[in-house]
Amino acid sequence: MRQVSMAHLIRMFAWIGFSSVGGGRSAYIYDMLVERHAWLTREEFLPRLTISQLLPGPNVANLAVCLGGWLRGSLGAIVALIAVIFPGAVTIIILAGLYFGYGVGPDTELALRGMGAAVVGFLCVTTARIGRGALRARGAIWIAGLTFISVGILRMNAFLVITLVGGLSLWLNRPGRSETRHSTGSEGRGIS
Amino acid sequence: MTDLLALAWTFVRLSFLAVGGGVGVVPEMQRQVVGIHGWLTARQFVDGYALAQVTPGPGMLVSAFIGYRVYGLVGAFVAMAAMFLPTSLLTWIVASRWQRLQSRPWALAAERSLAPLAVGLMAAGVFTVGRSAIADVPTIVLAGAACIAIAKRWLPAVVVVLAAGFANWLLHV
Repeated sequence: MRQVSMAHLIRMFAWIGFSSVGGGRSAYIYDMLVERHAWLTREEFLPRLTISQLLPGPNVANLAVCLGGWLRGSLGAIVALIAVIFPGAVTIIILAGLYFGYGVGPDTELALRGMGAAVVGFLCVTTARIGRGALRARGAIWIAGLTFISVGILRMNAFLVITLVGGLSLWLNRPGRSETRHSTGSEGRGIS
Repeated sequence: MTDLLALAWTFVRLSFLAVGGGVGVVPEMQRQVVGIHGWLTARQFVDGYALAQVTPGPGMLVSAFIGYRVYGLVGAFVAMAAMFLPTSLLTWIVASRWQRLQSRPWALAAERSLAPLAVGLMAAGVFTVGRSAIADVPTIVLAGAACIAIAKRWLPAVVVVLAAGFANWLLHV
């Protein structure tokens, strides 16, 4: 770990927030902080990536909190969080103002339809990439399928589903069961 | 005021559902903001989600878009704070204790067992967005083309999404 000034921290995370378009850019953060600027090592980065994926909340924000906190303490965590959100927040609020204030003309409407369709394609790819590495636990395919059907198709309350299906999954993977197909933890997860 | 409270409470609860990334929370978000509260139409929800994907920062900034609709600038900030602050606090608390928690068998079990749940939620999110966004032949073709272009890493996702918007416009002129 390197000694990093608060100004550097703000600039780095604001830049990450500004340039991470499309969500799920943990690989980008890894590249910036570990490979290019050597603010921390791979071994310091990976457990923090795992935490930010494991805990609820937007991944990029969680990762900013973990890394900012590691580099500069509690204040660093707060500063990194705000810096990573700020550029996008300003943009989306301006767009929301235009969208709801002036409405959308037919041309914009068509462009938004096209963008919405492409976002679906993008999400399919992202889900497939993450799914490939994540479906190795015991009963994983069934848990994923059950979750998909109940939340996606049957539109059931997601809180209920997470509690019930999550509980079932935890029980299936409880400590002490023979772990023949056990994933290797953070190292096996890869960087999405 | 009741709107602001409902907004804050809705997004705090939604933020705790976002396991393994933002997409998984989309079905419940749509159920809440379109179905239960009627803050937006399904169409506006998809538009907002698409905009949040092509603008910088986390996709969950769609919360600001929704908040703005409900209560203007104040609503946008309340929704964002509700979406990001409580889970960030939790992350910070756990992260600063992780050295000790990491080796517990239950921590490993939680890591293993939450992954498929997150994938199922993500797939449900794709399905929910798709149900509103895929409406006719051009949108089917554009979604398929975007899928291939991004999977093969021909272009960055944001370029593909913007190009698809342009293409859909061209198709109808």
